[in-house]
Amino acid sequence: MLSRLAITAGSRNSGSFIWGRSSAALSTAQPLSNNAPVIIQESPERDLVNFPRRQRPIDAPPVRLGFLPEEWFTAFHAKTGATGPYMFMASVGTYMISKEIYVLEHEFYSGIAFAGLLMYMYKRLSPDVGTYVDGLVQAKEDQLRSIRQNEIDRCQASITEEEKAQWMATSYESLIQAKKDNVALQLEAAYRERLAEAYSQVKRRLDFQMERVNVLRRVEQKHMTNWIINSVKTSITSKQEDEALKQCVADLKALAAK
Amino acid sequence: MAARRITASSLDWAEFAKKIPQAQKPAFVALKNKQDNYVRQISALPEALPKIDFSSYKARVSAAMVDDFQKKYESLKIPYPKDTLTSSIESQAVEQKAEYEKFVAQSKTRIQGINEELAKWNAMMPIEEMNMEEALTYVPHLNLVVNPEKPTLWPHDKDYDEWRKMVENMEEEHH
Repeated sequence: MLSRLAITAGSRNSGSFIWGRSSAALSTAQPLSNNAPVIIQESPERDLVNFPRRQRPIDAPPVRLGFLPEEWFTAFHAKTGATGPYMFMASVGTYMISKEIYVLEHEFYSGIAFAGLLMYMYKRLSPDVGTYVDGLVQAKEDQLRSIRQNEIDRCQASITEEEKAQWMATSYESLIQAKKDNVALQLEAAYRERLAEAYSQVKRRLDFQMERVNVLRRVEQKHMTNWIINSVKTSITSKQEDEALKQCVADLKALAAK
Repeated sequence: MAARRITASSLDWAEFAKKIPQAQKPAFVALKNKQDNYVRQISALPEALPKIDFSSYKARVSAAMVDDFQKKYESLKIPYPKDTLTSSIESQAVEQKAEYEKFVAQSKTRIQGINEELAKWNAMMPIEEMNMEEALTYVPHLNLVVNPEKPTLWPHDKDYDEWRKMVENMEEEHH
C-alpha cells in the first residue's frame, strides 16, 4: 500500500515536474507531415542524474516468505544483521499473542487454512496466468513499439524511393542519346539505300547493253543460218534430188543384202 | 556537318531499361523496336558503293561505252543525307536537363523533409516508455490518449462538435 502510494505520488510529481516546465519550452517547429512527432526540448535545468526518469517496473519486486517485501528485511540489516528482522517478527508476535493484543480466536485458524488454500492456488495457477498476462503486456508493448519502427521504416523507404526516382530520372540522357542514334541510323540507312540505288541503276544499264548485244548477235546468227539454209535449198536442182534418192535406195538395198 | 556514321546503337539498352518506370515500358519498347528496325535495315544494305565487274562487260559490249560507265561510276559521289533533326534534339536535351534538375532539386528537398521527420522519430523516446501525458504531447495525432482539452465520446474517432451534429441528425431522422 505504502509503495503504491509512493509510486502514484512519484509519477504525479515527476509528471508535473517535467511538463510544468517544458510546456513553456514547446518546440515551435511545425511538424513536417501530420505524422511527425512533436519533439519537446527539455529544460537544461532538468537533473536527469539525480532524478532519472521513472521506469515502469517489469517484474514484481523481490519478496521473502512469499509475501513480505525484501526491503523490509534489508532495512534491518545495518542495525541487527541478517537474523534481525526474523527476531523482530518473532518477538513482536510473541508479545502481541501473549498480551492478547492479537487474539487467536477461530478466525485465526480459518485464516491459516485460507492462506494454505490461497498458496496452493497461487502455486497451481500463477505460471499459466502469468504467461497469459505477460503475453498481453508484450503484445501491447510490441504494438506501441511498432508504431515508431513503422514510421522509421516508412521514412527510410520513401528516401530510397526518392533516390531511385532521381536515378531513374537520369534516363533522359539515354533517351536523348537514343534519339540522336535513331537520327544517325536513319541517315545511314538512307545513304546506304542511295548507294544501293545507284549501283542497281548502273548495273541495270550495263545489263541492258549486254542483253542488247546478246540479242543482236542471236538475231544475226538466226538470220544467217536461215539465209544459208534457204540459199542451199534453192540451189538444189531436181536432177540432183533424183540422184540423191537413187543413191538412197541403193544404200538401202546394200544394207538389206547384209 | 560531318555526320557521325554509326551502324549500331551506342547505348547500353539493358541499363536504360532499368531506369524506365513501369508505366512507360510500352513507349520504351516502341523506341527500341524502331531502332532495331533501322539497324536491321542498315545491316541488309552495303556499306560502300558495290564493285561492278566491268571487265566481263568489256568483253561483250563496246569497250568505249563500258569505260565511260566505269569512269563515271567510280567517280560517283553519293551525297550523305542532311541531318536536320539533331539540333532540335539538342534543344530538347537542354529542356529535359532543366526539367531533370528541377525534379532532382525538388526530390532533394523532399528527402531533406523526410530526414527531418526521421530524425524526430529517432529522437523521440520510445512510445512504450511514455506516460499518458507524454504520449499526448509527443504523438497527439495517434490518439493514444484522449486529449482533455478536446473532450470526445467513445469511440473517440470524431470530436465533440461532429459527434453532436451526428446525434442531432439522428434525432431528426427519428421524429
